[in-house]
Amino acid sequence: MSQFLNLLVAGLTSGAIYGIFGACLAVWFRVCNVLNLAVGDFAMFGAIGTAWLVQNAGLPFIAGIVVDLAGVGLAAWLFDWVVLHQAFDRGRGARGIVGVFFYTFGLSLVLEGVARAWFGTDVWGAPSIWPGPALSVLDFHVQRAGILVIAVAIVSGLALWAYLRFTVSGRAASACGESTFGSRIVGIDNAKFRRWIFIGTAVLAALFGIVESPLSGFTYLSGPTISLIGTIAAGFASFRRPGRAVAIGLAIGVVESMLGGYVSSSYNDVLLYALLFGIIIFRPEVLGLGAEPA
Amino acid sequence: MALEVADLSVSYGKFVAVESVTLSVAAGECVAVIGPNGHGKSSMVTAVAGLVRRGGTVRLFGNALPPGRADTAVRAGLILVPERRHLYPELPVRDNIMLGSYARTRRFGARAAWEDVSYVLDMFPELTRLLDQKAGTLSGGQQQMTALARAMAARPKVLLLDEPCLGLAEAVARRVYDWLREMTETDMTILLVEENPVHALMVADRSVRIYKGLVEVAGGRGDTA
Amino acid sequence: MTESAAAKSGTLSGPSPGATEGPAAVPRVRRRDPVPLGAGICIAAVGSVVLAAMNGSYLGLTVTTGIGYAIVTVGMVLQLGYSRQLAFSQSVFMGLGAYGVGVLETKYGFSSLESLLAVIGLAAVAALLIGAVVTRAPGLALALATLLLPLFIYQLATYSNWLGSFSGINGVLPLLTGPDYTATLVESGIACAVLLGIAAAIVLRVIRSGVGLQLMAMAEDERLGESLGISLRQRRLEVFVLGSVLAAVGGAVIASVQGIVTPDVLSETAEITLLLMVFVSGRKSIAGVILGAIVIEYLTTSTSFISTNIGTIEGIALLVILIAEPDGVAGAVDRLLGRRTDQWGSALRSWGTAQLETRGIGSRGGGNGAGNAA
Repeated sequence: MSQFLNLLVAGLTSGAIYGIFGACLAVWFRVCNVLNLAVGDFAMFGAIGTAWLVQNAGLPFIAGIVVDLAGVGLAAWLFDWVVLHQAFDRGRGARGIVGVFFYTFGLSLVLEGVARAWFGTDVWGAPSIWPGPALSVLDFHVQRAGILVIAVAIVSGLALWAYLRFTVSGRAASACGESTFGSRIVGIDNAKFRRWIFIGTAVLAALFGIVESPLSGFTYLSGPTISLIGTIAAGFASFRRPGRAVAIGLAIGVVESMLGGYVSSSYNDVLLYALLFGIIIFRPEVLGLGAEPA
Repeated sequence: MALEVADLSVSYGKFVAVESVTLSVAAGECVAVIGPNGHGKSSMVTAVAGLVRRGGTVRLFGNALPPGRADTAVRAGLILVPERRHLYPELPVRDNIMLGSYARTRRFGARAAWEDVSYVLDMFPELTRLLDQKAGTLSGGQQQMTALARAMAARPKVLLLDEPCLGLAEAVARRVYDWLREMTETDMTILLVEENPVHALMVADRSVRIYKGLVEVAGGRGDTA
Repeated sequence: MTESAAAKSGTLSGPSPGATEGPAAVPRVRRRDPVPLGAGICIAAVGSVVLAAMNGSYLGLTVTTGIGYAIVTVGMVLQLGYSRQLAFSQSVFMGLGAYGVGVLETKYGFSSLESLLAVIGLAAVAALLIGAVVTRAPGLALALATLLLPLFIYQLATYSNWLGSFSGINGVLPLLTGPDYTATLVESGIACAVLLGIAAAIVLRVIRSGVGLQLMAMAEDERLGESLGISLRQRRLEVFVLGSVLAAVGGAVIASVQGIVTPDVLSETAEITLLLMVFVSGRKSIAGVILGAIVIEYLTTSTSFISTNIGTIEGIALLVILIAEPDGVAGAVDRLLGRRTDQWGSALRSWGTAQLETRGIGSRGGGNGAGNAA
């Protein structure tokens, strides 16, 4: 039983990462129909940047967090101004499914390269926001950072869900993704929603990286794989439902953990990817995309 | 004048869709823009609404509207009901209508916004039972009613209608024109784009004909030549 | 027998001569298109001359490796450029080709030709099986699913001792063996250039055929294409199989040039490199992707600055290309020269003109030609 509970907690912790990235992806896709494949890299910059500012630049922890998040927000704003504004507001550049993937794909490559140049190939971990020993309940143990990670994911997912569901601004954001033309005729500024939600989700991902990094550490390469699983989690939420993306991310994490604990610790990732692959291929309708008729 | 358009031109690359269109609409007047398909009627009206780049000037009650700024035009009270509706298919009808008042009520929250626009249901009572239905699942006629309700939620001073009966069954088109006739009896200023001159002149005070992007002739109610 | 002679002899069914006749039967127009074969021969010839001139140098080795990548990217022109089939599976099949020749040669004693042919067959079967499944999924789902493929295939390869784990497989044979090392490099390089020419000819042939037109129609609007009678699944599968087989051939070539296969060949990094080669060069230009693959392969190995910062450089290049010139460098060149980038465009015009002339419709007329009757 204790093994099951420990695996469950470990799975929820890693799943929270997938879930929050899935939620960030789902919200932004809902606004502009573009996937943010750099969301994991923003988390990486959050974690490594804060660690560097505290350890190398000597900033106090809170100041390091603030400076780091401001830097991530600035980078996101810059990318929107230089690339996305040109592509979507000025009508230049590649469109269609190429545009869905490759703008942020390019950003991800740049962020990885910059991180490697600035921070090297070491593993970095920011100081824990909630320091202290692991908490023990009966036979299972949970890191304080793990509780924070799960809590932040759930709260963020609920907050994003509530924003889209209950506020006028959230409805307007949804309208941007449903019909660009239709939203402009009622005076909604598509560009503003796209920009601010991109910045907001980038900062949220960075904050999450700070919260999570004491558990596992980040390298410059940490972003892409997490982004990919987050994309899958968002996909299973039809790329529209951040709350559901968090739930699915948590489920993926638990499945990954259980496969590792009860099937194979070496091949658990392989089995997970194969499982996800199979679901997408044989049941694409879970992505809100129906399979072609035979 | 409620709406003054001077030397309006619209180009898509090298293709000139609209060339030097000048027209004006007095307050409370309904003017129909008629002409064959593909001759610039929709391009003209979307340019007036600030949705595409244009040359020339557009004035709303004497105030110049900046080109390509639909949000400014909406806040000033110039509202477009576009050809093919452009609703938000995954959002329910209630949200589609409420977002029509976005420019006016975004600071006041969803409940306040809805209370402010619920009056449009008096104009379109058939939408009352559809409020929770996703707009993408509505019939063509229901979508058109929703689009009109969305426009009225914005409390327009000048209403631009682009082919409001496109693709609609005869009965539904009649319903739309009945509503339009009611609007012309209020002080609403309307610029109506319509391919069918007979329909247009049933409600319009006068007409303007666009041919190959240029204003060709003007006529009054009853003129269909 | 001509139609008029057949009509006179009464061998054609239909209304009798002199009666009101329906539309005349349109003779089938057969085009003999010399471009694909000619282009393939040119590519093979130029590649052979260049590699012979390089005489087995390190540069020649780099160019030959680039040719291996070019074989893959030529297939991606069809997938990404014309069909807009976004499938991230090329590196997986590249790995299949590389590991295929490695295993067959080092463990089963196959010759290089035998292993290449076997790998082509194996890749075709694997692509058919995988493609029959993955091409059921529409655009975005296909892209997401194939994003996962390199991840778990890479992990399988690194965990497998039979495949050499992280060290890979050593001792892959060159395509051709000469009397000495230099001759071996030159002759193998020429063989690679010939394979590239064949790949380019095949892809060009497809693009410039009716099938290519169907692929472009599907890329624009799948529903409309389906309503015109295009079999979406069949076309998707065909494109997937051809692209995958070419990727396998490319992987086999790379392995034979380098003499070693490592898991890096089927990693997501390899996939990223391939995508960069295609997008930066011009995803609709065969000449573009060939040159681009060779140049990018050269650049990534030429200076330590580039190889160290390759990620940043690739990312910036990709973003610049996507915004400034979505058709890539080849598109920019063609725009400067006032030409169309896609080979289909000019071929379509000439084919269409031939069709209209066959129907008696000149350049002034249109529609059903009735307006020209008076």
